Amino acid sequence: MATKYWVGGSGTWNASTTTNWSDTDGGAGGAVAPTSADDVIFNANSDAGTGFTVTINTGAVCQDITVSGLDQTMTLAGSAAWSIFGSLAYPASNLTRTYTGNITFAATTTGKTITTNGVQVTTGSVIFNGSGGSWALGSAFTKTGIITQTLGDVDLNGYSMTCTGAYTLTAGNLNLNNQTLTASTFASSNTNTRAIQFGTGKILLTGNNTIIFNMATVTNFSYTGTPTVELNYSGSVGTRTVNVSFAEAQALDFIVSAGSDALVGFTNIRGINLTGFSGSLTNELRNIYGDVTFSLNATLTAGASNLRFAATTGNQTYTGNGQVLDFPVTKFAAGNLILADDLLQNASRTFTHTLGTIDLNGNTLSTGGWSSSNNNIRSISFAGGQIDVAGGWTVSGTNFTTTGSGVISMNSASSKTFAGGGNSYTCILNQGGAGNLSITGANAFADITNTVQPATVTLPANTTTNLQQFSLQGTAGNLISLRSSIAGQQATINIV
Amino acid sequence: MTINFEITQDGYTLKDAIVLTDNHTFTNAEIEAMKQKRFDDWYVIVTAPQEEIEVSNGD
Repeated sequence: MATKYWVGGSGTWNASTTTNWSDTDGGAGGAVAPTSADDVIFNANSDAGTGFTVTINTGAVCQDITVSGLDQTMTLAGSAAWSIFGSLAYPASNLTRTYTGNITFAATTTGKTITTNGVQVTTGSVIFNGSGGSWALGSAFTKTGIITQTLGDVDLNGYSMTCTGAYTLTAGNLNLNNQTLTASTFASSNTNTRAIQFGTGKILLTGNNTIIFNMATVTNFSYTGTPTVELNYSGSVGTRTVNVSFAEAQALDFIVSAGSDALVGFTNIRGINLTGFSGSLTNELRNIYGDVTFSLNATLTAGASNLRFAATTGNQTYTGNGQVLDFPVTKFAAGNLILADDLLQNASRTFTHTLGTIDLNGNTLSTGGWSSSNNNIRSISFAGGQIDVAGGWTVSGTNFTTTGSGVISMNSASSKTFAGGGNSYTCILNQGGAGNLSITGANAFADITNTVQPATVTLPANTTTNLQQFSLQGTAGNLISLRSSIAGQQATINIV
Repeated sequence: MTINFEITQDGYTLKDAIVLTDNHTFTNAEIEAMKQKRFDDWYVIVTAPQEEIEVSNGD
């Protein structure tokens, strides 16, 4: 390994030309051109008394490149590929670039730094490709075009990293180190071992009308930190696709902070936040493992595909902001679903409670029908909240419980059934619609009330319904009819 | 010497550094102007309309 000094002003850097290379600082030219093991230095002794241009040509390689202390303007030019096996350090002044070739950072050892000091290194591609290599930024890194991380580790090290094209993570660690990586699109769809260390940083994607984020294959991908991906295109053109198939432990949060275009995908993700988005989101089967925040301005396309709250542990928070969900919703896994405001579902859609706790948190969940027929551990925590049911209620099987005070209101104007499954409900059951409310199962309630008159409530024959209070109340001429489900056979109410 | 700085505008934040030799002769005003130019140049790039993009799988 040697140190090579550029001398003599303008010239060509390639694999063989010796004119501008010296083995001593400010010495005579004619030294052998640098190899991948040699450091190269450009400094105040590199010029010939005036500005100079270094043209990168075929075969240009070096270990470290250090440009420092220039007293004339130096221009890096050319379009040939250039491989840097060490670190790069550019000065804050006197260096300009017209170079457009592809740069490969090819270190195979750790501890390399890249300090561009405001100089865009190339408008060609930047490729990080060194097995065992690692590069930390020493200042912000900004370029037009693409960045490909093929092998090795990239650390933003406290600085912004920006490219106007795609960032492709093929293998290695991408350490955002609490900072922002901005790119048009992001892709990492393969089976190589790779990871993103988010910390509190994020990936900001500015592109539109294409696959914005592609991790269709996520084998051997992992992350640490708070995994935020933000999409901030603010126009209305085309479709932004997020093509992902995360398992829960891999899933990232997506924020769509702007735009009135169309969104497709987002099918297996951690959280989704559409605040600021006013376009449309397709109806697809979505497994969401994190928080959901919708925007009233967004159009959530109606359809038969489920939105699943699928966290197996911890809490998921739902914030609807007034959005009415015209598709099925399922509480799908063992985690807790907490409503931050009302969850409003179209009256033709069903809410399915498969597993886990639903915490109404004092809010209203309105649905076309309630379905929960299995033996999984399921719980509803009312906390003063209410479930408005436009159709029927069906709970069966074991391991279903409720906690806290609240209301289940059966609001259909047609006949409807509350199939309680023989459970003890800590809430009030309300007859909230003109149609007959037929209750099945040996249930218990805090109360049975009504908010419409006249109304009919049919209790199960030969069955005791336990109540803490019994508050059905008619008015003159608008009576409440209380019946047994089988004529001539008693239904029993037991006030406990 | 390394002068770290951060500038935010319209929700875009640049975190950058001006790295100077210890014997530099830049005045404070020149350094401040350098910071602003860095941000302005970056802001143009980060907010530029997108080109048509070819998407790879990353494999």
